Amino acid sequence: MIRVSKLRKVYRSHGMENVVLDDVSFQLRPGQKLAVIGKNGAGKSTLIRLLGKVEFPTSGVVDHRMSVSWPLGFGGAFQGSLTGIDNMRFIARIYHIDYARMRAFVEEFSELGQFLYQPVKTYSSGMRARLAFALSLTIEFECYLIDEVIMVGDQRFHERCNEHLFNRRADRALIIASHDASFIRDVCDSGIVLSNGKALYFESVREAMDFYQEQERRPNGLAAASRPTDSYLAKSDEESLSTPEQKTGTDPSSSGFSVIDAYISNGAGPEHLVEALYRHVLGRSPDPEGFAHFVRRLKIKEFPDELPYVVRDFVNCEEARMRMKVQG
Amino acid sequence: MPLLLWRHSLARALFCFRSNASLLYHKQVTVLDLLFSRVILEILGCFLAYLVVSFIFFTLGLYEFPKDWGLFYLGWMYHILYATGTALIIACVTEMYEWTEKLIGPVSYIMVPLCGFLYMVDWLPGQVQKFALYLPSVNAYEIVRAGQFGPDVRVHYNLGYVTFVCLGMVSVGMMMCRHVRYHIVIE
Repeated sequence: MIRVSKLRKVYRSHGMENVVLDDVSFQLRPGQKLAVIGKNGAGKSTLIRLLGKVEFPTSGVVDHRMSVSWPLGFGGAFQGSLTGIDNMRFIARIYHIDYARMRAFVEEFSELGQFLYQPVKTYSSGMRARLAFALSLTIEFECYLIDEVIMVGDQRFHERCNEHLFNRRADRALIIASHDASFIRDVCDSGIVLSNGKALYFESVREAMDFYQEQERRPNGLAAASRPTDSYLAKSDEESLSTPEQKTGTDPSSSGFSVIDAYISNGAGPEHLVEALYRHVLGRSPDPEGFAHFVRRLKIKEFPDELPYVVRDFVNCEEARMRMKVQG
Repeated sequence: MPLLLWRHSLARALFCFRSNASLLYHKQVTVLDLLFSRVILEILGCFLAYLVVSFIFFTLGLYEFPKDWGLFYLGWMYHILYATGTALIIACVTEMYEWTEKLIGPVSYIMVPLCGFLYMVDWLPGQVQKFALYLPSVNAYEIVRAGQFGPDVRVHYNLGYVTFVCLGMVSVGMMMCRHVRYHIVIE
């Protein structure tokens, strides 16, 4: 099990703050195959690196209750001026693996041949990924973190990866960051969509992909749910958001909390609350398709009692974001 | 030679974390591992140089072994502590503020005449002696000389002060290392 709670990562450079991840929480069961989906720069690699404890979060906790690999990908993990063999020896030593056994496997699996005796910095990125992948398979992690790749290289390598990772080690957990939709659908069972620092967790990888693709198609559609629009800002400043709330019978000048409190006291249906909140936050009616997604995400059919609290968190985040934006 | 130890450790510490960041992919590797491995290499290199040079000059009859090995090693130990402390602090500072790297060059040159290997404290006028002893390396050199030459020379050092400063630098450096780990960006 990996437990991630309230993860936040801010990069500071040249006087600019860049919030890459904000308030990300989820749990990974043993054997779960989780896809990390998002656009370029959405924070996929950052999340993977935080999960591997390579970088440390600005705040929040990553709790490993099983052995987790280092992030397998194109870069990192090797000392460039040492040869592949020397790096292998180093890794065998720090992970307490029998070197001879590791070497036999890596030579056979990576098919790097004489390149193993060359410095790693002369490798192509594909070769580096092959070495990293071969090494990690000898260590028998309970969870493999895979950044972008493994689907590099030729068909043969591809097939061997599939054989070793998905057949022989089908019981292991995987966290894969990738763009490849068909690969993700084949391999993963659940997904996380990263967008503007927020992470949405889906138990089903299909839902995650649907959500992501819809968001990509219409950047102003559902994505706006996690990205404040300027129109909302302007309206909330003038406290002119009265119409949607009057409909649910609450004080017109109130914040999102009062919408929820009104819901809790009225006992109206969960869909109505979601709709009201949607209007409150976005300053417009939800479009029917995106709305359906949001409702599905909250799983209100299964846990109706939890809804107000989930939505309260949602609104809380939105308002914090607004406040930051107003100040900044 | 302790001067070289200090200067080399300093040079090694510059962007030490950044240049080896890819090794931090493995949870077993900590920032202190990176730094200490470099400093230890420098210390060994320095001792080896001492052995070679002293052996050559000993066979030529130009060098006598230290009169007091204990003081001699104690002085070396302070040099090592001082170099380690400086390396820890510099590694963290350059990692957090890149412009500080530009200062390291001039500072390490200014320290060449100041650090104590060119002069003995006893040669300085009384007022200046006090200031010279504020530098830990000056104290450490004097202790090494006390060990090397025995009672033939007059040395000045403040054992309590140099211990306090060196250990202080090492502990401040260690604390900074804990903090800097959150700032290291890896590829």
